[in-house]
Formats: sequence, C-alpha cells, structure tokens
Amino acid sequence: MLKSEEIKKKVVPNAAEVVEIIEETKDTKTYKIFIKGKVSDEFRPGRFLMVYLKGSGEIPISLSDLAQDKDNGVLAILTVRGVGVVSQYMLSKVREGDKIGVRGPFGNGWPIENARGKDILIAGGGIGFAPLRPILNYIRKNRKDFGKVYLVYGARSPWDMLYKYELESYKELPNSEIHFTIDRPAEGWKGEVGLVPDILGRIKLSTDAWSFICGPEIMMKIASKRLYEFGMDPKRIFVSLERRMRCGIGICGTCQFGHYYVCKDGPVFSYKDVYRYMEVEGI
Amino acid sequence: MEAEYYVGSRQSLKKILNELKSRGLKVLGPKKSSGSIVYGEISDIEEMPLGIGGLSSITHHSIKEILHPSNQRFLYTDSNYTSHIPENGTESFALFGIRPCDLSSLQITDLLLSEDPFYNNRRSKLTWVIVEECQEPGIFCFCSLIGTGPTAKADFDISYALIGRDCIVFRKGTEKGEKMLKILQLKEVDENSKEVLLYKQRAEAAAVSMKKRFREGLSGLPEALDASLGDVSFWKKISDRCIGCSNCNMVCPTCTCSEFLDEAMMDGSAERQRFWVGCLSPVYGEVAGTHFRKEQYMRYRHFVLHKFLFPFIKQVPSGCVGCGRCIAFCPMGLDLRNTLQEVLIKYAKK
Repeated sequence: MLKSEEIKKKVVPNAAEVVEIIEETKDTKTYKIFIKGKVSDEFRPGRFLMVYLKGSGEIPISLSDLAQDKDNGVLAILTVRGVGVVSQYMLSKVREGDKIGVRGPFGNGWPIENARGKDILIAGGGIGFAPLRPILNYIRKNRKDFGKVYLVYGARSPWDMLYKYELESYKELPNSEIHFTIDRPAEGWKGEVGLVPDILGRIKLSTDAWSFICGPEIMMKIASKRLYEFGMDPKRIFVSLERRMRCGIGICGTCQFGHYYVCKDGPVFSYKDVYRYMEVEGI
Repeated sequence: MEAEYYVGSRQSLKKILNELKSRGLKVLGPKKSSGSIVYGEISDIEEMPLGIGGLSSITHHSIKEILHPSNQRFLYTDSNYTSHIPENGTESFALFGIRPCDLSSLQITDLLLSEDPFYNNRRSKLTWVIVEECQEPGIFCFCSLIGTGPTAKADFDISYALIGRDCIVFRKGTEKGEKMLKILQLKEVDENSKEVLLYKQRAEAAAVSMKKRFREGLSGLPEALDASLGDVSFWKKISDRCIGCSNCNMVCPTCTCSEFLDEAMMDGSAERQRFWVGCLSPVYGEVAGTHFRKEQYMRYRHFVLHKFLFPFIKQVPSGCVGCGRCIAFCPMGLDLRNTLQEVLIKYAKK
C-alpha cells in the first residue's frame, strides 16, 4: 500500500459496535466493543484508541484489558470515566448495540515482553489502574514467564474501586503480593489505607523488579522517585502519561511533553527518559 | 562550464511566471492585495511585492497558508458512523517569489507534518520553487543568525535578487531551474561579474546587519535553554507581558499545532474541522480535570523551547527560520530576540 493510503487510514475512524457495558462506579463504565477488520496483535497493553462520538469529539482511551480476535475483528475493552464533554456524553448516551467511532490503537504500549523472567510491580491510582489491568491479565495468562508480582491499586474510596467483580481473584495469582488501598478510612473496608506511593514505601520490593505505574501525574512522579531512591533502575520504571491529545499520530502537536509527543513517543515512558521533565511543571 | 548566475530584468521574471503558467501550474506566492500582502495566486508580476526588504515582517501570511491552511475540512462521518476524509485534490502548483525564510520553513513543516495526509498531498503537488532573495533586511528579521537567509540555501529551482530598478540576478538551484533559465535565453554571467559581485556584497551586508546584536551568534543557546528549564522566575519575568493571544503562533511559518472541532449535522452526519491552535493560547495543555500548562510563562517557554531546544535534542534543523513575524505581530511588543539574548546572558557558559 502507498504511504499516503496508510496515513489516511490513521485519521479515519472505524465504526465499532458496543457489545457490552459494565457499570464500574458512579462515574465510570467499561465498554466491550467490536471492531471489524482488526487483529488483536495490535492491541498491546498500554496502547490507546481514539474514541470518536459523532459530532461531539474524540478522546484518547487506554485499552483496559487484553483484546480477543473474533469474527474477522477484535473485541477490545475500554474503561471510561466521565470527566469531560466527550466522556460524560459517552457515559450518558451510549448504549449496548450502539455504534461509536474508533481510531488506532496508537502509542507504544508497556514493554512487558522485555520484562519476561523478572519480578513485576504494578502500581495504579484511580482510573490509572485501567491501562495496567491488561498487564496483570497478560501475566495471569502467562504466569510462568514472570517472577513475583506486586500489585498496588489505590482508589479514593471503596466505592471508587474498578473491576470489583474480579479484584479478589487477583489474590489467587501464585507468587504475588496484592495490595488494595483507599485514600481515607471507610466503614467495612478490609484493605489498606493510604496513598499508593505510601504503600510502596511500606512493602518490601526486590530492586530488580520492573515497575509499571499509572495514575495522577503527581502520584507517578512521587512513586517513581521513591522506587528510584529505593534502588530500582530508572530504565525499568515505566509510567503512562496523559496530555491534551487530538490526533493520536503526531501531527496536531497538542500532546507535547518536553521534546516528546506523548501520542507517538509514548504514552509509556521510562522514568529515566522523563524524570527531568517531571520535575519541571508545565513543560 | 555551466553557469550558476544569469542576469535579466523584470521582463525575464515575467517570462518565468508565464512559462510556469503555460505548463499548467497554479502559481502561488506573496502578492499585494487591498493595501496588504497576502499569499495567493499570482497572475502578473505587477501584483508582486518585488524587492521589498523584510517582507516577512509586513505580512502575517506565509507559505503555511498554502500548505497547511488555517482551517481545513478534515473528516466527514455519515449517520451510520462510516467516515471518510474529504477530497483534497489540489492541482500542481509553483511557489513564486517566496523569501528564503519561508523556503526554509518547508524543511521544518515537512518533519512536523510528515504523517499528515492533507499536508503530504499538497506537498506532493508542489513542483516548482522560485525564491526572491533579500538584499535588505526588515527591522525584525534575523534569518542570518539562524542561517536560513538572506540568500537561499537549498530546495529551490531558481532564485533571483533585485539589484537595481530593472536588474535582476538569477541563480540556478536545480538542473530543472537551469534548463528554464536557458530556454528563456537569460544572459549567463561569471561569478566575478559586476552584477554578481554587487548581489553578494549586498547580501553579505544584510547578513551582517542582522547579526549585530548577537556578537557570538546563537552558539550555546540549546545548552543555555536546557539550563534555564526550571528557572520559573526567569521565565515569568521574560514572558511577563505575554497576554496569550497566540498571534505569534498564527503568523509563525513553522507553528503547525492544530485542534479539531466536531460538529453534528441535522441529518445525523457529522463534520470535523481542523484549525490552527497556538501553544501560547490559554487552552493549550488543558484537559478535562486538569491543565498541563496552567500558566502563561509555561506556554511561552514551550514556544521558545520548541523552536530552539527540542530540535537540537532531536537533531533536526532549528524550528525557527528568523522571519521575525512573531516580533512584528506581537501586540505587546515582545521580542523573541531579546528572550534569546537574555537566556544567553544568564545561562550560556562563558
């Protein structure tokens, strides 16, 4: 195919069908969508789709689980929190059976293949746990390929926890240490209380673990720094960043972070590559 | 030996214009229109702002207007969610009379918009480039400091410079250009001819005058900018007067950032427009829930870094071509040259 045809395809959304909607919390839903003509190989953990609601707008949404091939297409999972115009519109208006537009997946994704044989730390805060969930489920599927798994997932309150229907099953993962935490004490909560970086400070990690972190930027910054100070290699600490993003393919320029374009150079970056920029507000 | 230089008159220029038109090309470039200078189709050389020094400082337009227009229909989606991009078939065209700074901007936009199907389409239709070299800089010009002018460096077919009322020195850029100069029977001249010597002398004088305030040029600038990154009070002070109007972004030939605007139609279809957005404008970096570039100094700093530091890190040409438009069209009188000077004074290694 000509290059021009290839780049044209990247700016034109495909129609996707919403197959199933799961209510996660009062402001978050998970959408299982079917996209014809795609293959699951492209849908690597950490990549994102540009989700288009006709006439409303387009937003980048990370894949929140492994994709499956089905009927000459792909079943992909997206978890959306209603915060802005498009996401709130999606939550309130899109029903099962409806069509939406999607472009992608774009971005680099988490380098989990390179982390084979290593211990893995997954640290997620709030909706930031969504892009990490496919890593966890990938490891669950390929358990023998990885060492010990540490999971720290924090939410504001018990009611804000995502994927409640499967959280308990994570604890069945052999050779793992699972921590669920909430910001402030709540009645009936049996997990831990404290922010994700604080929990990281409390647990005993192996310094050669590979870390995958996603959450509010301040949480990623503090968590990465803590892990680095703990003795972890900054080349093995990964964060997934968010920015204003319009095109997803490096032409609109709105997602710049220092000299990087978050859409095509990221959204996953090693702490080594971004620690300096993370210290400069607004770069 | 093949000649590099030719001498002709305004009539010769007219011949080139007509020759391009006779080949079926649309000829686009700077032209006088209602007391202003815009970029559009040139039908006669009388319309052209010939020999005007510092043209870039007196027109808010640039070739960006042609290759990456301010507003483009980007996508059409029907009621069934089938989308396609609008036909974008422009005819082959020539750029005529553009200045060396604008010519250099092509190299940068080629990099920034390499994955943009609309830009690529237009770019592939650009088949001829005729450049007017500057003999006199405008008060805001600093191309010689960047190295993009006042003479054209590469990627042009023919350049010309007006050295007298009706005397023009032509220079071949490509074989294609040379062939045309020969077809039109322009007079070949030696590089030691009085015309060529005068041309070179004036260009040199122009280059020197633009460098006056920077005795040591811009050497060490990327390192100095790098060292300044976290100096909030420095950047606040320097950008103090910036009001975030993003005029500088709009007039800059290399600022290519854009936004999408989606609009629903009554029949259930939808359209997407794409339009320029400036990194100086208050929405730049804003997302639902937070803002990644909350303050004006952060956005001004980004503008400067994107031109002078990030290209250095990525090992690509400077993102600024020294056209001076951002200075000429700043309503608050902010001068990018002052910013660079202050960065160098405070942070360049002595």
